Amino acid sequence: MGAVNKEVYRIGIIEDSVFYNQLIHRGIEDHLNRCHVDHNRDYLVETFMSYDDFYRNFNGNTKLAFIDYQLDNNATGLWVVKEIRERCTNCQMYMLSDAKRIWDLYSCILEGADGIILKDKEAMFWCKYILENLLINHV
Amino acid sequence: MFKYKDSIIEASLIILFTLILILVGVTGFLVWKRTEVTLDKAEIGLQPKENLMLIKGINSDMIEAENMILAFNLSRDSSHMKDYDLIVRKTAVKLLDLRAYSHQDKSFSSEVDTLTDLVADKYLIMDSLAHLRNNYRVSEAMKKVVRRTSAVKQNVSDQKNDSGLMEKLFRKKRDRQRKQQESEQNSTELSKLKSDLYTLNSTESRKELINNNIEYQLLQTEKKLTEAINVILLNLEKEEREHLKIELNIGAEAAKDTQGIMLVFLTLLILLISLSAYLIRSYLNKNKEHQLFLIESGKQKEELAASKLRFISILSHEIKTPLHAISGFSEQLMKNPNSQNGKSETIEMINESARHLMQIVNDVLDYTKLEFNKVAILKEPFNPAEQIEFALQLFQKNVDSKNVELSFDNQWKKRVVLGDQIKWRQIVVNLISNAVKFTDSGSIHVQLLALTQSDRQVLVKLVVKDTGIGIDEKELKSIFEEFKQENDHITVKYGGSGLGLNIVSLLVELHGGYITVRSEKGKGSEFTVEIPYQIGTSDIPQIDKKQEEFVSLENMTILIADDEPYNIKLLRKMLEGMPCQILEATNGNEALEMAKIFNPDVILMDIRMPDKNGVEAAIEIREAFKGKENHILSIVALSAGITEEIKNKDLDIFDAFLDKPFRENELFEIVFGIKKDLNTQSKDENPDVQPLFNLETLKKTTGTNTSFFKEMVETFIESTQNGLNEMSVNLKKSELNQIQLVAHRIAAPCKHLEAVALYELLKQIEHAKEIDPVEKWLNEAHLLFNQIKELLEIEFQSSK
Repeated sequence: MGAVNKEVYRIGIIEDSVFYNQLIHRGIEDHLNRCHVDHNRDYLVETFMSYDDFYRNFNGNTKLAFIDYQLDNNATGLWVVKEIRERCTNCQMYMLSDAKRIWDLYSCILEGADGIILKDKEAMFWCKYILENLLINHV
Repeated sequence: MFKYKDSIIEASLIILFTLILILVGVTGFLVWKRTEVTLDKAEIGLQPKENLMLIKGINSDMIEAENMILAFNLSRDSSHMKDYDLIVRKTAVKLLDLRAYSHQDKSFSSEVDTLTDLVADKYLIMDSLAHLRNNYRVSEAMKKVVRRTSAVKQNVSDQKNDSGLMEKLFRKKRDRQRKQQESEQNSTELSKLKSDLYTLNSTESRKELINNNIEYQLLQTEKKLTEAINVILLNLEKEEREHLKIELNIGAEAAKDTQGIMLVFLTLLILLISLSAYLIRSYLNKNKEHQLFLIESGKQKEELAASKLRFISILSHEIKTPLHAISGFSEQLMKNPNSQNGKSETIEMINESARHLMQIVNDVLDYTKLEFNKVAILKEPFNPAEQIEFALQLFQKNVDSKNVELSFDNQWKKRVVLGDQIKWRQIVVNLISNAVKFTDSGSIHVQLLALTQSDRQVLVKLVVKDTGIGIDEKELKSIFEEFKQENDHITVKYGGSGLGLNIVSLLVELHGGYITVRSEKGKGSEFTVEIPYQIGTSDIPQIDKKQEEFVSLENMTILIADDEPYNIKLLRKMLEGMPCQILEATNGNEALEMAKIFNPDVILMDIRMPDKNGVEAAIEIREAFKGKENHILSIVALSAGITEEIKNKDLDIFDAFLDKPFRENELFEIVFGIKKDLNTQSKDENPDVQPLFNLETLKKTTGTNTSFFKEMVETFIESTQNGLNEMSVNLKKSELNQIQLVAHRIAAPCKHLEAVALYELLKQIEHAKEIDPVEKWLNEAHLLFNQIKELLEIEFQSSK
């Protein structure tokens, strides 16, 4: 019997803060493991700690990306947004930021980002909420 | 809104009317002006053209002159020459007139000049022709002379031949000799004359020949002149005709324009007339409608007055009956206060009468509220079937005593809808109450159904069927109207305010539903109510009714403010036995003073009081208690006429509202509720001491996954430590930018753990404009973090 080719649903996290990176990563994985056991699909949550890491390793089939605005070496989330737009045909992008950089975040929206999540106590809730909506529509 | 719309339409019509009127006036004026111009042009066209007339006149004059000359030449009648002279003069005058008319047109006047010269030449020639033929008279005269002389000669010869013998011989020889001499002379003269005449004749003949030649030449010249004159006359005529044509064209165009404007004018006029007719008609119709409306409303008022009168008479009976019972039985109790004989029955009668009275009053109040749209519909989850079961329980005793079977068929079990439970109960109770009232034997069957309309909407159907007295077919239509019972006998026999079904129908209508009735006199009635409801969840909030068991009114001060001593007494009676202090005030001012002195916990404030009413007093009391933040005061409004409007308006003054008459448990519910709130209100913590962190948010985020939670705490500690260390290294290199980047990176997790102090320090570093103060802030951050780390480690130790 041959192995069934499962669809891989990719979620990317581009965040240079170890804490938030891990928080969102674990939070999403936890949520998927509890709520979405799908025999026809595998979920893969990938994390990138820097712009270089993202640039080298980001997969063009990623469906959802959470992007921190302020990255290392003065890189910004705006670069990431532009790059993802080039590589992916259908990837939803959400900016993570605690700064009051309204104009910067707005420019990301203009470039193609789908929304902004503030890094507060509701951040994890919004990440899960966005994921749920996406999965419902994807299904 | 409708009237407003009407007014706009009316105003628009009037404006339109005025505009059209103005336009009609303007176009009318234009038409008049154009018509004037057109008529002027037509007049000009119709007027005999002077120039043309003159030209034609001149032409005809010349022809006539020619004829005159010819006639003269043929007849030698001098009258023809007189006529001829007249014509010449007339022609001269015409030429002068023509010259005068043409003085503005240079080409025309030059032609006229030429014509004048030619005509003058022609008349000269005609004159010449006339004089030419005049010499012929001489020749004719001469011929006559010749003939005459020929006759004389003949006479003389005859005289010679005719002398007698005797006369010849004797009598007049002398005469004969003389005559002979004369005749010889005559014959000599005659011969001379004759020869002269012959000479003259021949001369004349020669002259005639010459004259003929001259005449011929004159005629040739005349012919040429006539041709030239005709050409000029033709040109002049042509020019005049052209001018006339042009003027006629202008006139025709003016007529066309006038026609167009006339059309517009007529159209506007028709519009104006139509609009006027419409306005007049609509005004008359409105008048008629208004009159009909007045007549109708007059009739309705009369009917309403009659109904109200009837209602008042019914109501007064219904109110007086229980009042009579209350008054009568109370009097009996007062007479024999210690007697136990029938005491409990008497009290029960008083209570029952009071309930009945309350029902009547509530019906009237409900009806009034519904009529004036003062009822709001709540949207809370409730179970319609439960309310039906409750109502059936209420009437079970009544039906048992009457041998009537009461049944309930619930085809929609345990379903919850969003709506107003109280109103639904009112509908159910009223319908079942009516069925119970009018059914003496048989059965009353209640059925509950539901028809699903959509995912969220359901049509709840309630059917109440009885085997009672039924309703006459004629009365079925008006059974839901106010103040109506089938007839007065029914009212007398069965009682009631006549508002029950009206209230039910108004409530059903308020919910957007329908109520229908089928009935047969003597056999029974079937009432069907259909109301659309939103489907609710199965979570109906359960009111914890046990709270009063655990709440004590100990140490509570209650102030009763009411001007009616009976009400104060009643409230005291109700609160009797409670371990609370009760104070009394009989008006608003007194209530205010007592509140200031005694600081009550609860004020039961009657609204309608003399001097200062309950609302004013409550406002002033609230104002007085503004400085007393540690003392919590609750004010409960008591009144017989508390409406939704008052509740909404005075929401921030009163904590609760109690409609009189209220039952004891209603009062307790409010008072105990207030006490419970007082008990549960805890004093605030010291606001100055802020915790270093708070793990609640993280716990919420990680949920029940403890390993996830621990991992995140460890990550926080590690990443923050590493970040602070990195910042210290960069500080030595004076790399402010790098320090700020790291500060930004590790600040957000601090916010997540509500480590506010550390977060603010890191933000300060992130936004630092220069490096100097950074060292100090960084040191503080290290210290703060160390404290947090220790506490977190302790927390972890304790959780293990």
